[in-house]
Amino acid sequence: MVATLTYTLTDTDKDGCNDTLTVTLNNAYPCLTVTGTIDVTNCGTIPVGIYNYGYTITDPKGVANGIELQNVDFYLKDPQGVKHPITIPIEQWIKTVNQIDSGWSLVCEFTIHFTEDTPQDATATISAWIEFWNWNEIQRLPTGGLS
Amino acid sequence: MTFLKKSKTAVPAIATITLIALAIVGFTYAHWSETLWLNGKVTTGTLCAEFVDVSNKDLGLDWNCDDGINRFWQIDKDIGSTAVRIVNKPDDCNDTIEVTMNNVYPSYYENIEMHVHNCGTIPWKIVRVNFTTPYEQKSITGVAYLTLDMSGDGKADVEIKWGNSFGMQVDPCHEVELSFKIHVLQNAPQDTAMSFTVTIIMINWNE
Repeated sequence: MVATLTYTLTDTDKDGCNDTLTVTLNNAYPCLTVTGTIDVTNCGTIPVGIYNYGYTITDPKGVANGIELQNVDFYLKDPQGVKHPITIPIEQWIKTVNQIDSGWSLVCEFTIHFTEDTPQDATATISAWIEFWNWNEIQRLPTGGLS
Repeated sequence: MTFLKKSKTAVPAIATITLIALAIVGFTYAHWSETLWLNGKVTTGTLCAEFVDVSNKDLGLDWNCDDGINRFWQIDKDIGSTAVRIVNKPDDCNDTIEVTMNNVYPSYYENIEMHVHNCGTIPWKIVRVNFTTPYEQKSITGVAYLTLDMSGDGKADVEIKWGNSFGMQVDPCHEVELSFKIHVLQNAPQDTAMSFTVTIIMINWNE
């Protein structure tokens, strides 16, 4: 085993739901392919929608230049585990549908590939966040939710 | 009655003032919210190889061999000698071996052995070896027989045999032993310094 991938889920606000996902990929190298699934489940009793999101990246040596996003797929999953594909671009879905019912999940499956441009002995970090509001408030916003 | 009239105007006023005060301090009541965080960290590995030691066969009485380096034997005289050393390049990796042959003569035979260490975090394999004299450079990518012109006269002065060490995976912290044989040919000029360097090129094992 050369590269290692670890992740942890943390409930930082102690409300019974994990709200922080920390992913660490060590010793990556050219040609490495990583497939991941991020599952965001509405663990409350009110439908929610995405109000806003953002991210910050620290990448002094340009690791991102060597990362190729090969596949990204979003879908909704109902409480029985049945997949409901999102057939429009996720940005458009956020501006139009943007609803995750109680017990449902918004799932993202992705594959990344490290190319020959991957620098050696380098570290990059990303911190991303998604803010959810109750769905009915978002639908009143003229932007459809995104500020 | 006067008291009741005052009450009807006071209650909305208090509510309005309260709402204004709440708005001033940033209070919101129109929505509930929850924020999810994703923290990712990617660290890439390092590819590193270095010579850790090098040695040669001629430590006293000389060795001779036939053309083609098929048979070799030790003679009863100590005439020629070979000095080998690891050259430290500016990148702090010992990636070159320098071979200098002194007072050698046709039929002189030498065998160079070296250990190469994986000082990185990624397995690697050898893909090419470069032999460089002041007059030419030759590269090999497999089991090889080659000759080198070390005097610049356009003639082969030594012949070299390199065994099969290509494609072998060497894991981090592991070493591999490599060797090659040298034979001084009849065309080698007299009274000439004979030296060359050996550089090994590795790539990550999965390529």
